[in-house]
Parts: sequence; C-alpha cells; structure tokens
Amino acid sequence: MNAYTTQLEQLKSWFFALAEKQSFFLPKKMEGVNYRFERLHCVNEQDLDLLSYRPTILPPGKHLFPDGEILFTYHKDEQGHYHFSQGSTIEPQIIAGVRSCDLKGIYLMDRVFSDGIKDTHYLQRREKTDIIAFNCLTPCDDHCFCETAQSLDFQTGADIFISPLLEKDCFLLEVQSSRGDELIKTLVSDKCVNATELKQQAMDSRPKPFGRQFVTPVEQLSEIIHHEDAEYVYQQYAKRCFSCGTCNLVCPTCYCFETKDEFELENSLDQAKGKKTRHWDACLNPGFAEVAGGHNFRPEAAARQRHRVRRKFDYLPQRFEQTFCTGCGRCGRQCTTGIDIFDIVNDVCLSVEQEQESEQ
Amino acid sequence: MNAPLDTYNNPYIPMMAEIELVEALTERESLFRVILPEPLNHRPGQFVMAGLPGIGECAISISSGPDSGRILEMVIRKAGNVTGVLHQLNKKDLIGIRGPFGSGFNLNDFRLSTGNEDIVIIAGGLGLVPLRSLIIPMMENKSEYGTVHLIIGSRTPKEALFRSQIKQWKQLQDCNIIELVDDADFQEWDGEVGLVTEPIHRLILDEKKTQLVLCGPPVMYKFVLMEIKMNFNIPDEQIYVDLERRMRCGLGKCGHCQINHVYCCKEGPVFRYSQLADLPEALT
Repeated sequence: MNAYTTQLEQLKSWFFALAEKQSFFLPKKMEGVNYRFERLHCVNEQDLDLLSYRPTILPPGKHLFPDGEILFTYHKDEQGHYHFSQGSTIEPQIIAGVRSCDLKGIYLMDRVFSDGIKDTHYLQRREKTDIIAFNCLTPCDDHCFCETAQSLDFQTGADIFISPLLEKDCFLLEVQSSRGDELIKTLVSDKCVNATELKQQAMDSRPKPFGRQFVTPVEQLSEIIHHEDAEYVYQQYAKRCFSCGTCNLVCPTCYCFETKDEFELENSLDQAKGKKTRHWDACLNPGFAEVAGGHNFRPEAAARQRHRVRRKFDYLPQRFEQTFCTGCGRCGRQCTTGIDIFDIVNDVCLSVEQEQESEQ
Repeated sequence: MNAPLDTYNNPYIPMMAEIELVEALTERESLFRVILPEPLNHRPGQFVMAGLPGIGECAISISSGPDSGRILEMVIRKAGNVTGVLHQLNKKDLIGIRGPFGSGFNLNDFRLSTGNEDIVIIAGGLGLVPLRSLIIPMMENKSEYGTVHLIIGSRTPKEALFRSQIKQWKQLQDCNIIELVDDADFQEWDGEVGLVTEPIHRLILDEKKTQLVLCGPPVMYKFVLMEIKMNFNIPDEQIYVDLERRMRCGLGKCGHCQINHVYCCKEGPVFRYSQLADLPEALT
C-alpha cells in the first residue's frame, strides 16, 4: 500500500482536476446547518470546504442506490411483442469526503446486493464508483456514536483514504486499490515513509471516549436484542413515532424498496411503452407488510420499531456477521420526535439489567 | 465511458408467456394456463411474479405440478389494480412471468420409499392453489405415496375450487378427501359443513410416519396447529406451513416479505414448523 502526504491547497486543486473529468461528489454546506453530497463544479471555489463537516442528511451510499432508479424499460411492437432494455446508462463517478461510518454503510450494501441473486443495478453502479474517504479526528456532533458501533477507522472499500494530520493543513493519503493509484497520479504530493506513525499521532489526539457509547459492548447487543422482547421499551418509543419512515430513508444501511410500473400516455392507452422503477421504502410505514386483501403482518408501530432495531442488530448481522448500525446518528438527528436508535438500544439493555436486579 | 448495462442478467425483466386458457373458477378467481418460452422447472410450493410491463406484478402461486414443462397454471384472485388488469386478459394475450422463486416442497420428503405412510394436506380457501402443485404429482404417481388425506375448506360452495379434479382424486386408492364449507349458504353442496379444524380429530394416522402440510388464510394456522397438537404427536419437522407475505422483488432484497430474519420469498414460503420456533412473526 502506498502512502503520500500533501497540503490542503494541493488537495483542493487535485479535487478540482478530478471534477473536471467526471462526476465528483463532495459534502457541501447548504442552507442552515445542513450538508449534502453535491456535485463539485470546477468554477466554484466555495464548493470546496474540506475541513468543516457535519453528517449529510442522506448518506453518500444513496448515490449507488438512487431513488426512482430504472430497472428496465420496454416497448411493444406492432405485432404485440415486448422488447426490454436494461434501463439507465450508468456513468462513472467519484464520491469524495466519505466518512468511515458511511464507508462501512457502503461496504455492507456491497455485501447485501451481491448476496444470492445479484442486484445488477447496484453492482454496476458500484463498479463505476471511486471512493475517496476521509478520516474523523473529532465526533461530528452530539448524535455520533460510530466508535461504539465499531465503524470509526473503517477503511475497507475506499480507493483512497485521507487522514488529516496534526501538522496544520497537512494530509496523509493511503492508496488502497489500483484505481486509487490511477486517481492519485494527478496529485502533487510526497511519498510518505512514516505513514503509520503520523496517522497514529493524529488518531491519538482524538477525544476519549469518541462520541456516545452504548451501555453494553456491541458484541453482546445482538444476543440481547434477539432474545429480549422488550415490549415496554418499544411501546414507549412507538407512542411518539409518526411511522413516517424518515429514519429508514436517511439510514446508510436501509435498502428496502418498492417497485413501480408505469406506461407512457403519449399516443394511446395500450401501454406500448413504459418502465419499471424502484423507490426507497420504509419498514416503519404502516402499510409496509400489508398483503392483498388487507391483512397486515406488522400493524403496530411498536412491532415496526422492533423490526427496524432487530434488522440492524440481529437479523442482518445473523446473515452477514456485522452490526448493520454504523453509528452515523442520522436517524436520531432527523427524527421529528427525536427517536434515536442509540437510545432504544440502550433502553433495551437497561431494561434487561433492571429485570435481573429485580429478580435478585 | 458510458457502458450499457449488459454484462449481467437483469433479474427484473420478465419472460413473456402466451395465455392458452383463462377459466373463471369463481366470481373472483380465474385459472390462467400459460405457455412459457422455456420450462419453469419448479418445485411444488414455489411461486412466480406474474404481471404486465407498465402495469405491475404480484406474487402468484404455481398451481401446476412440477412436470408440467412449459405449461404453467396459476389461479389469480381479482384483489387489486394489477390482478384487475390481469383478469381482463384473454387467450393469446401475453403475460409477464419471473421465477420460480422460493423454497417449495421436496417430494422425497413424502414418498413411501423414505419411510412415510400418511400425508395430510389441509387447505383453506385459496390455500388449495399452491398445494395443488404438491397434490398433482402425488396423485399422478399414487403408488409411490402412502395414504393421502386431504381436508379442503372453502367459505361457501360457490367459492370451492377444482371440484371436478377433486372428484377424480377421490377415485384413487388410499385417498381420503374431506371437503367442507363454512356455510352452505342455501346452495347445493354434497360435502360437509364446518371449519377445516373439525375433521382433524377423525383422522387415523401413523403419527411418526406422517407428513402434514398446511396452507390457508393467516387466521387459520393457529387454530389448525392447535387442533393437530391436541390430537396427534407429529414431530415439528414433519409439519409444513406455506405462508403468505407481500413480495415485491422475489430476490430476497426489497424487504417486504421479511419474517424476523428470513425472507419469505427466498427461505419460504414453505417452512417446516420446527423452523418457526425462531420466527415469532411467522404466524401473526
């Protein structure tokens, strides 16, 4: 693995150079305090603010799984035969400024979409996406709990991993793939021989603990969430849950979707031309598990809350041996009524402790 | 740099099949027999996604036996927008099919040669439709299987499905068929009146060598299983349930059909009862 050091100004001009060639996305401050992964335009210097960062509303992984993605288009010829085409063309893109929590989110989605019958649309987009990730030296805000969720320092899947160093405006770049080697060719930088040491010094400057911490170590969470019904805890949160599904939509590891078929109304009503698209869906929505005829397999908000928590800490980890909550804090940050998966998990753990105490 | 999406197969594109026959079975249900461009090679109990491009698709049980080659039979209930449009289709029209999906049954689990004697199949309402794909191969090769007990329940005589075929099955040796309706509703009816739970206690079974299969509306499972457990000591591994869930993709991705940690479209819709101990959401 090759490592390089460079200065802020060089890094900026490198980003601009990359953005000139292809779609280049970077977190950008929008109105208010919100950040969003936006396309970097070479003319606009203000677009490039590398040092301030707050978690974007939507995680960068959504660029690989866009809402409304075309799964296929079709047309019917005069003989009534159907012809299908594969949907939208996928262009290469670079996503830069991806933090470790979101990098882990993308890694988990890679696992999910290549498991079993492969999801061609996601995988093709992923194949054409280069990722330049960015290390965190301070928690992004009060909602962050990436350390306890074990995604701080996650580096897998990034083509280049950038760490800010202690020396002002100085950065370490670790190249992690051949595509990273290709990208870095245009950067003015120095080869770094003591990368491990420099990075360690920077990481030692982190506050301890880093962000919020679960009351129970993450290794034990699966066990607890799996076995504890914790009806009372989920009921308490369900009381103020609007079942709006915002937590699902902003989550880097929520990937449930609904499909939609449409035909064009151009010339006739005979559905001669149209497409199938997929749209983000949310398991917190009341109708998510409803079947034809009206039976709903998960009618209560508490059951849906439990389902979401278990998907992150129990169900998907059973399949992929990883916790599916990355600790990015987005669900808690965006929830209208302040329901935070971090609090739910802690309350479930605490309720177990209380039960044990009362038994003794 | 723009490469088209062609290096992989797109699992969402259906194959278009020609409709050979549409036969109204009841007011709401029609049998669709279609000719596929290639054989489906399905197992009993599997399902397909059937629909029309531009309109939508639904999970529909396969009702034909596993040796049906390019012929696929499905019973579609007019229950919503998509099935409403499908009901307007006629002979020679095209219908989109993806699949087969799901686990399904393994016929070897039922054969005499693997030490089985009695086979009990309990179907409520539309539950008969998927189970027909399991019953047909048993009836066609009856000598390979022991006694088949069928308990088939419908709401009213008007809603009873496949009656003439059931009549043929009744002629076969070691075939005990009990047909019921919840309510005869002043219509002609030569079967029994009552719920599918009622005849269960009358069955005479070699419990350890019995395989029991169950499919029906969600409310049915709990009561039938209760009745079975009260009367018989059939091991949980030998009891199968065929469950309904909302399926969208059929690929184990979209999340709608999830029952605890399993995807009904992938690991199901057929489950052994022993598997359900770990799936508290299964029979809700």
